[in-house]
Amino acid sequence: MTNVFKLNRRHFLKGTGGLALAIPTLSSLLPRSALAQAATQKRFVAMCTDHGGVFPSNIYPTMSGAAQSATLYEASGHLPRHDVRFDTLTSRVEGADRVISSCLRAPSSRFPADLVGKMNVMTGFDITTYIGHNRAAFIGNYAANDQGVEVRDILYPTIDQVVARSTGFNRSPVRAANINVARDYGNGSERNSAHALDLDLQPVQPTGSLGPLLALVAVENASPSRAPQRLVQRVYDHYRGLTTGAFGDAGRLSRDDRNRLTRHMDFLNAIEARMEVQLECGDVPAYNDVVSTPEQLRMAADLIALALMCGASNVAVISAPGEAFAQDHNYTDWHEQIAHKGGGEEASSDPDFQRTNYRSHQLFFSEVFVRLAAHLNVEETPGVTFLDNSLLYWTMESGCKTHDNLMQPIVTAGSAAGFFHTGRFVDYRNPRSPMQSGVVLNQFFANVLQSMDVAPADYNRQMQRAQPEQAAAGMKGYGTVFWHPDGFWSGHDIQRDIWPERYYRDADDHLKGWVVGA
Amino acid sequence: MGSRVYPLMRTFKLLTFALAAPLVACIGTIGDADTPDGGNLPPGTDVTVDTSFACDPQAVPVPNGMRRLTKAQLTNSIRDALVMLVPNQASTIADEIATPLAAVPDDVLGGDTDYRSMVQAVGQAHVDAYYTLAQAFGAALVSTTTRRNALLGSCATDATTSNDSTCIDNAIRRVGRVLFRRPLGADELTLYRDVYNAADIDEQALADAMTALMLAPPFIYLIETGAAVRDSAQKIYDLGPYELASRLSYHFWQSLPDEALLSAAADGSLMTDAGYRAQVDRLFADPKARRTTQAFYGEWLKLDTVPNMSANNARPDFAAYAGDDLPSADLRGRILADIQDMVAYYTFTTAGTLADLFSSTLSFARTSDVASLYGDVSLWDGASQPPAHVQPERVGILARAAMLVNNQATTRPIKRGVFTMRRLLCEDIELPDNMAAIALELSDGTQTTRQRITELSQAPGSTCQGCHVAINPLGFVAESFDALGRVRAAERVFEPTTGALLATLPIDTHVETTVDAGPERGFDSVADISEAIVASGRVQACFARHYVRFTFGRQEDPRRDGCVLENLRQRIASSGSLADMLKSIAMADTFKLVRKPD
Repeated sequence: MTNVFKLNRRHFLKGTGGLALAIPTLSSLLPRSALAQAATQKRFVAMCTDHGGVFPSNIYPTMSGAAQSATLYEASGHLPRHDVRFDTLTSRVEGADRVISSCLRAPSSRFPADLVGKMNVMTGFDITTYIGHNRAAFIGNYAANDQGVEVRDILYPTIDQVVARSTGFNRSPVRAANINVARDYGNGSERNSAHALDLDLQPVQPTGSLGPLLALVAVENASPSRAPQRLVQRVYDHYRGLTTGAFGDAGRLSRDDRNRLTRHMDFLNAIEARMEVQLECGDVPAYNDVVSTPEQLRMAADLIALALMCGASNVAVISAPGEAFAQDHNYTDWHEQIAHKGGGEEASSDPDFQRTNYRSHQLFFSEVFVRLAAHLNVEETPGVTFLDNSLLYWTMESGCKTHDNLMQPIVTAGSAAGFFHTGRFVDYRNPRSPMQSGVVLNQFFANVLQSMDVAPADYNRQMQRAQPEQAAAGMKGYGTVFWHPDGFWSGHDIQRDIWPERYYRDADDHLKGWVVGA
Repeated sequence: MGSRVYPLMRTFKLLTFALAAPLVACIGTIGDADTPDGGNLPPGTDVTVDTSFACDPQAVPVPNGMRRLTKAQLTNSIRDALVMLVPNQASTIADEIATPLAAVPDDVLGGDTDYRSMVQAVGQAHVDAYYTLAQAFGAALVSTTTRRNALLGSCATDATTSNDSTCIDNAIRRVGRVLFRRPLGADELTLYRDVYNAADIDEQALADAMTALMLAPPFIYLIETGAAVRDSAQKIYDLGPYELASRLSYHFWQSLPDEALLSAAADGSLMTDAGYRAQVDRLFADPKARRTTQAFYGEWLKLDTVPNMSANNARPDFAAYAGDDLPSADLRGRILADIQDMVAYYTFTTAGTLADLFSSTLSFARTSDVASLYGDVSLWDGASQPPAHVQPERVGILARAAMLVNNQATTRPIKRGVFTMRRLLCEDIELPDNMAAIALELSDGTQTTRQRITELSQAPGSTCQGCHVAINPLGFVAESFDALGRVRAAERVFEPTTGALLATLPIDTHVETTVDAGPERGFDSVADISEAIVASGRVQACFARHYVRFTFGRQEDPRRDGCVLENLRQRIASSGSLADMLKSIAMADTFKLVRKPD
């Protein structure tokens, strides 16, 4: 019998001809019910949008009077007390959307209250040095930046790679250790964090394009048959054709109508993803465009969900331009006009540009983050969804001011199989601090790694290799330990007054307010 | 004394100010008249509420978005499609797919969604259910030789295979035409033939194709792109014949077009005035129109809120309260049938008017338990002239059991009042932000329900008072009916745990209120207030609003829908029959148009 390779995302194919795949049958591609797994398989997805500069008022909810707090540090000498405050994450319905804040809204159809309860919105994570543009700070590699000269040679592998290659993380063989739909930080970069790994590396998947991702989820099926996929795909084609004019005058369909059809297609996708029988694929064409458009990002979210659910991989990274979903084209230069003029100091920034800015990020949240979370929010085992066993997070290249890696907004979904509390707005900012500083982002990464069952001893090896002096001095957490030296931020001595060493020494500790039992 | 037209919103503000009630939020929405200048009415001024809608023929219509079939429409469509496709097997197949059909998510009301047609959300649960349902539909259609032959015709079983391909194409075309409510395009035929994916007659391939057709967007959604351009700048188009056929069939039947309507679309007769009118009359005369009007009346009157009447039979106080009328599990359905029979009688059997609904003294009780609630009125056989009620209090729709009952041992006047304000007078009642939950303490038998509610909700200076001075009287006037809808002369209070009679208290149905925003006056009975509600003209305008919401699946826009609303209102107000009124909306020019959103 001739083996035929199967793919159940036919509509993603582009063009004809191209790369022919020869993918072996892997046990991981068997139906999950056929896999006897001794322990919960966790999954990890990190996402980032470029720039940032979304004002706190546009992304964070407000604390209610019922908010709780826990003390991180008591006042000590000249250092003020530092509490974390946390509150139930609430949402409301506005029209067709469920809304947490201006930036965190998505169609209710894919963003039900149940999903809000599985999310966290967090703030108050800081990088203690200025690194300007970067491509991998959101996953722990501060070296891939264009301005933080002092830290460019301090190489840490990104945490997706650490997770993917940690002993025992994958409960069964996977086709790809990690999926990379991020740009400019993977193979080919001189600061490719993989080069810094002292592990026995597997090749990292080629990055930034959908082609390898398509290949990843192309599943061998030795018994071609008339399969449900064909049925669903033809129906999908009908929906898609309506939106593009293949069936009637698409120009007379409103944007809302097309969006509704697209959402319906998402749901058909989910049905298709759940099917065990795969559709005949044929040759997978080359598709090496860098993922940057909304359609590509949606596809990436869909394919990653599929890959995670079918066990092709358990780790993925997505990054996107800040303007990927821009709809208000009141700019000619996103960086200069939107990110800078609309994302600086809240009081002095152009509100129209800020609106353009947060709307684009909001659509990434809705069309990629929530989309992926919703895909995963289906039962893996009775009463437990894939999302429950996962940790997804989305942050931005900068914090709430463009280029400042302070107050990184972080949105999470999933509890990593109960490791984290969910349904919370968690605020680590310290209003008693002169800069309203929070905790170091390194502690966030350390908590993420531990949630993925990577022990501190495992990831601490990276600091011992990259920054042996800091390791010997008792610094913990994950990522570069470095204080900006010259009073860059408002003339403060940040190592003495803002982020004293205690924040790094304790950076392996479970974060109160977020980690269960902390 | 001079008389002036005055809009309701202002009048309510004056009323509430006069009562010094803080935080009131009773907002009138009847009519479309502008608020006049000036703030204070001279004492004693006669006030007339303008209930008319401003009809601007130049107003740009409300945009029509794509609509998902409601669950009721989906259910009706599938059942009627089966009748068209496999007439001898339709009811059997309908039974076979009843479970997956029931699993389609209900259209749950809430927030601003007054009617199920307004519930347009689509979630994964919907699409999953559609998929399961469509699979069951496809499998059922081909599961027997009889059914396959009904779909494919003799070409499927004759001796030759050379006609198989045409045979399959024709089956897909035929089913597609019914489900899509129009002929399939060539590209669509290609698409679904590809689903078939077999060279010859194949049971599973046929099931797959049928499944796919039911999952397709032209079945799940009502997609109107229009035909001829009426106004390109405003994106207004004339509906094409098949689109018009669908709009008519879903308007009157909540279902897809039948063969006659599809044929009228195909031969162009539907696009002629005479042909169109003939189809409107035919559709309205069809029994399927009854289920649509039944659905409308059910939602307008909020019949889904009628509780399970027997739920509290085990409670001593309720059992004692009900006495010989202890509800059976069937009583709820019979009460609903009683009121549905009433509105159907005045809509279809006689040329009844809306006023008739509020003044009728006929009984439609068909079972002894309902008749007992009505004082042992004679049973109606469902066909002959309904008997007259034997109780003089039993006047109009507000005196029907479905409007009065709950399953407690006490009446709920506030609920009754809110119903009248919201559903009959179209008064919005916005809850104040700081509204406290109202919970009546258990009665000790010293006060009537009215007295206790008055004390709790109308305390001078309280937050509640502002609205409740308007709401409560509309419920208190019905205190001559108990919680089972029985006429009573006194209120009996029972001890909850033992069912012992604690007290028999005299009822008071006299209220001083207004239903027309004019000066308050006295009412003593449901009959009195029903007459006043009709005379006010407000229920006619409110009825028009609700019907527009139901049939168009959206909130009315008094400006853009002004002509439709005013036409409806005038027909009702001029004692036009309910039947003519319901048909008239389909005769409006705007019914035949589609305006696409930006």
